[in-house]
Amino acid sequence: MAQSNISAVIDIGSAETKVFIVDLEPQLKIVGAFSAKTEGMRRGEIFNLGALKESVHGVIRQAELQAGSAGEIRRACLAVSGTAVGGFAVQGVTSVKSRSVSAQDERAAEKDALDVCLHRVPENRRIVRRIFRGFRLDREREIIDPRGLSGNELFYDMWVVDAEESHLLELYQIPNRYGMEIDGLFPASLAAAESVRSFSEMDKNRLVIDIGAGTSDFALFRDGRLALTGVIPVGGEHVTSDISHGLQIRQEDAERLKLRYAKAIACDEDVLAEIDLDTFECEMKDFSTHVSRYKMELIVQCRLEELFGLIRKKVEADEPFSGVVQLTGGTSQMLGICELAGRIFRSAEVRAATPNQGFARNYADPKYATVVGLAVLYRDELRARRKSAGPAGGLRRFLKKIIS
Amino acid sequence: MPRRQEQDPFERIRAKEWRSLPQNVSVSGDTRASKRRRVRNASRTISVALLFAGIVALFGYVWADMMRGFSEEGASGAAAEFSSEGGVLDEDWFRAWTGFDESRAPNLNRLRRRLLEYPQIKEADIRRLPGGKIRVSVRERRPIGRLVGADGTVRLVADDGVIFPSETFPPSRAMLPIFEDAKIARDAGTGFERVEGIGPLVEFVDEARTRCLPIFAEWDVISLKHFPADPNDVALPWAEIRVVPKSSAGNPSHGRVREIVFSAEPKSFRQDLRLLSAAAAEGKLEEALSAPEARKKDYRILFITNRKNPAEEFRELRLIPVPAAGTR
Repeated sequence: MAQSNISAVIDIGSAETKVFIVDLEPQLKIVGAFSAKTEGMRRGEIFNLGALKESVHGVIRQAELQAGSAGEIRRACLAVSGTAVGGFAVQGVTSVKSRSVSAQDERAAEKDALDVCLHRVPENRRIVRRIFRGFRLDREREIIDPRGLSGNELFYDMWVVDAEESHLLELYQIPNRYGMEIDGLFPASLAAAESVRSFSEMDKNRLVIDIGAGTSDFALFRDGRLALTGVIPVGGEHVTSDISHGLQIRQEDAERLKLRYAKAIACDEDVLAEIDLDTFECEMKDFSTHVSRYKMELIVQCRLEELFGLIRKKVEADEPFSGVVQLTGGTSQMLGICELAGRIFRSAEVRAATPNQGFARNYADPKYATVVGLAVLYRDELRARRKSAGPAGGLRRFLKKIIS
Repeated sequence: MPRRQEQDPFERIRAKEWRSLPQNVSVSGDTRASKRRRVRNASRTISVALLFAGIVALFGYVWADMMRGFSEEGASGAAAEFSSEGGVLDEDWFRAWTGFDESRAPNLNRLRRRLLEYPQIKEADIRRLPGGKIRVSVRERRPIGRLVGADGTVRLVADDGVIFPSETFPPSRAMLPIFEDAKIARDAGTGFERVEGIGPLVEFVDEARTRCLPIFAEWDVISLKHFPADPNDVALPWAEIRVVPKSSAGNPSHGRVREIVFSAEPKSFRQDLRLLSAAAAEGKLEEALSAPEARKKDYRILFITNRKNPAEEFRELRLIPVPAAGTR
């Protein structure tokens, strides 16, 4: 196995850290995988870096051992999420020099967009990714390749994902202190969207919501082009907390009840149904042994309605959304969640999506959506880098391979 | 526009991207997993370094050894261990011939060349042993006969035809038949003198020595006057090996065998030797020579091919009377 092609793909979630060891050449292949509970992170925020490092390093090591390459991997690709991550649209403009658009005009529009972008990124933030959305000619026509077309003004549309510098530096420490260099960094929302992308829906309006434990990442695609990404600091843990508070039970008991009974939509037939807490060995604040199932469902519904409402507000800030909604992430497996999302987004096409990138069935689980998408994005980026490096880059890579 | 600046925006945007943040990649060892990784990496580095050092040391040793082998003079000398397959040449001869000096590091190639200059040596192998000692193994040529010069000097003929001096050879082992009238040529490559076309003759001598040693012991001179220099000519009618036995004049009750004439062709001389051996063993030869009418005669033993029946050709021994030595 050529070790230079092996990389670690790391998704540090609030509840669980997932690490894939992937062989990038000749075909993307998962050679080792491990996931375990994350310590030191709550709702996307790091509160104990030492504990976080300890838990993530442990997961990386186990994945490395599975891959049979312990201590040999030097590169890592990371997903970034949480409230520290933001995004904004940028538009650059240039007047078309001659009658039709030339490559020079394209470059001038791009330069202008970059200038705008530089002014919009605050000092304490760094650009994580710039995603080209397309050109517009005279504000009207959306075009991918405008060369040769006639118009007066050429616009360059770009979506920029940025993150707080301090958050990134903290995040860097985790793989760096394990002897790994971060070679790829992607927003979790894009990674999740990539993992559930299907060929038939490429050109459609699509909203991908990755409901994690601490945060929910979403990515909106209009006509197949990225329109918006975002993070809502609400996730499965909030649902658990609400159940804990609402039913006056411990957090861990609430988590077990959620996994066993939670429905995203409160059903009328559950009005009289009760959950026997003795069977769960729950510790109650008062001495009642039963809780109303309907009450719990209402709590869950309220929280998820709030979540979807917040996302809808952001998604429909500019124009109303109609299209496919894909739910992924651990919480997307909850009963009735698609129906609830359908109601909020007024969409008939709501699906719980699983990663469909041709990996083994073990990884076709919504909780692996981010890490699977991350591997695919990283592979694509490396290919693009190699392509742009040209033959000299190939020679350098070949020499590097021989030396390694 | 105020936001436009002189510097390329592509450059400036790179400085604002996540990649521009410094990364401090090192295995800190502050977590259990990273400690294990550090230990593993360190042990791997140490083993690679040790392996590399080992390879370098090995190459260094081999190189130094080679340099010592080719050096004209060395700082330190070397002891030599001499062995010879053939057992005639000894360490004293080796030191005398090569001028080997233990106080100086020898040039092994030159030493080997010097050894091979001595015609008695067929092969020489010189190796440097760990510790600097030199092992010299030589293989000597096997003599099959002698050549006596006009001045009485004796030289030996090896089984490959090479002629070499007999000084080192013990007299007891040098009791070999004398080759007369041998065709001698000088080898262009080695510069050694050699008897031409000796292959069949070697076979003849070996066959005689193994099959009929008592008879061979009586042979004094082997005349190669009619022995062809080209091995392809051994089947020609004139090609023959003439053997002159030691004088039997001391036995007046016997006739004398002046010479025995063998065919030079291997298949035939093997049959001839068998016939001679059988005749001697059965006493027929002695009987014929001690007959009253044969006592005062000299004889030549000839072998002829009986071709009366072409389907069954066979060799025959004939005792031919020749004029006695005194009457010639």
